[in-house]
Amino acid sequence: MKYGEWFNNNLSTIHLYPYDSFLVFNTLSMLHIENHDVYELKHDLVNKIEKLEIEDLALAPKFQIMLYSYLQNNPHDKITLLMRDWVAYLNKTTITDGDYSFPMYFFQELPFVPEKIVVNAPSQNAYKTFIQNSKTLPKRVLDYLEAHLIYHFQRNNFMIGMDLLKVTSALHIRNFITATCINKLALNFNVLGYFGLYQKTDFSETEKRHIFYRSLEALNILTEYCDHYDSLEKKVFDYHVKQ
Amino acid sequence: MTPAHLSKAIGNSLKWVHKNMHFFDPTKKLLPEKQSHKMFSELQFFLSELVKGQSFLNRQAQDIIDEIRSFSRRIILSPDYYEQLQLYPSKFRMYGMAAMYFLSYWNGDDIQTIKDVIGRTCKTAYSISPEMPPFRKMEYLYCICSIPDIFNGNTDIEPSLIDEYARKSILRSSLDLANYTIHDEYAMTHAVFYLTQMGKRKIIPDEYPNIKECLIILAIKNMYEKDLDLLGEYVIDLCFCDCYSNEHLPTLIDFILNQQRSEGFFPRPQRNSIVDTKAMNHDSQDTDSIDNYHTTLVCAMALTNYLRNAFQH
Repeated sequence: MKYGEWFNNNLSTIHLYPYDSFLVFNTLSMLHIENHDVYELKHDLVNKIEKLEIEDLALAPKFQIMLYSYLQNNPHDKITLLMRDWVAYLNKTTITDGDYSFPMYFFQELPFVPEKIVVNAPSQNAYKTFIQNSKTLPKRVLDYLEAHLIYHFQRNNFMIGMDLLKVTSALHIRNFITATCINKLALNFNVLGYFGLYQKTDFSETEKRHIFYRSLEALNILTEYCDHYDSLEKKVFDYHVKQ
Repeated sequence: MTPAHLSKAIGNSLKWVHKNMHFFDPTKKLLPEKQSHKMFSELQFFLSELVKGQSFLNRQAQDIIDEIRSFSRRIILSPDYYEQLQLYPSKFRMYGMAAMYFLSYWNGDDIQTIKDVIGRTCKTAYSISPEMPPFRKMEYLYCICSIPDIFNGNTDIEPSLIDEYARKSILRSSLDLANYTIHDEYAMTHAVFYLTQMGKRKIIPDEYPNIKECLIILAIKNMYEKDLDLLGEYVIDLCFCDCYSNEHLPTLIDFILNQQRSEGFFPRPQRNSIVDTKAMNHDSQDTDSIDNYHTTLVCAMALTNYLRNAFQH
């Protein structure tokens, strides 16, 4: 597989921070690549993660940590502690436009949204309820979200586009709008095995790191949309609520 | 936003068009041939729509419309203009379409000559242009079919052909919006114009799924981009698709109204200037007129269509 070749050839030269181990492990797991090299790599990554201190964990993207413990089905003590606090935060009874819990904060960036987004839920699981039922959002807000998707993808703003696709996936929006964006994302995978078309093939170390993260983000999004039943985020969140 | 606001905005845009009317006259040769004919043709399309909403406008605006109609009549009925249709059937899109839009709104008795010229020429012109994109074929067919005297003489041209070309157009494509260019969006807006026959016919959702959703999303997207040209065309499309109750339409109309300049025009989107006016030694005021005419006509049509219908729903 071309993606595997590029990563294998460059992983040893790209400077990864300790907390990057979560993103790499999760992406390799979701791609379901079964070979000896990947098995060894994942084993190394687990060892690195086991040695992380709380300060390192605090720097890692929360969702990637949650996803890791979901995929491992055997959460590390330190991770469990961190996640318990974050899940409690997400489980607040109300979510207002002032909150920045994933993925709500994306809505703050949308212009022309005429009112504040406020969700009041009678039970504890406001976040879960909100995500489960995308009809709580007025249709016009979803229209603005989809217009933003098209705006950014037409302009090849892939990083913003991918963030917006995470929102639509969390809201269970799968339609011809998300399909055209996913198709464009897939089209922009380089035939050499990484994400993006840069009009050159020799990269500096900084550029390689940038390409590395873009590629993993893009692979995660594509994998997310291949799941026709539940969004990855819902599955991960449900797993942690039960812990 | 009230009917009075809309009427005033349309009136101001008409005053601007009237003030710059000389640029729309292809016989004056102030601009390159292709540019001046394009402007004149679009002016006829504009008038064919505006006359439908004329009664909603004030007396001054109605008088301006009548003046522009008379201005157009003088040009269309001059041999200098109409003989070009017979001389150059391959240029029918430049000359002939303007004449056909004129015939759709002119009620006088003095138009037999131009009808005869079009009747003699349009079949040849239609068949020598096989490479036209589907939406242009639809435009052609719509224009011919809307002039009964001409249409009845051409048994090869049927209104059902519009549907045949619509099925080959962008409306029946995969709606790959993320990859659309400006030209693809124009193909979409124009295909809707002619499939709905400028609002006279409904689009059947089963035959063209997701089209209304497309129009809404792309209209909002062009509002973000401040592209009044495409935004105006999508608003016209939404009016033609009878989407007056759509909650976005008032926001889109308000946005258009707020972009009108004090001189009465609506500014063109920030793309390349339409014509190299420096090469023609035009001053900057002329450049503003030439660059902004299209967006002004489109926005005025959008506001007129909304004014005619929205407040009855």
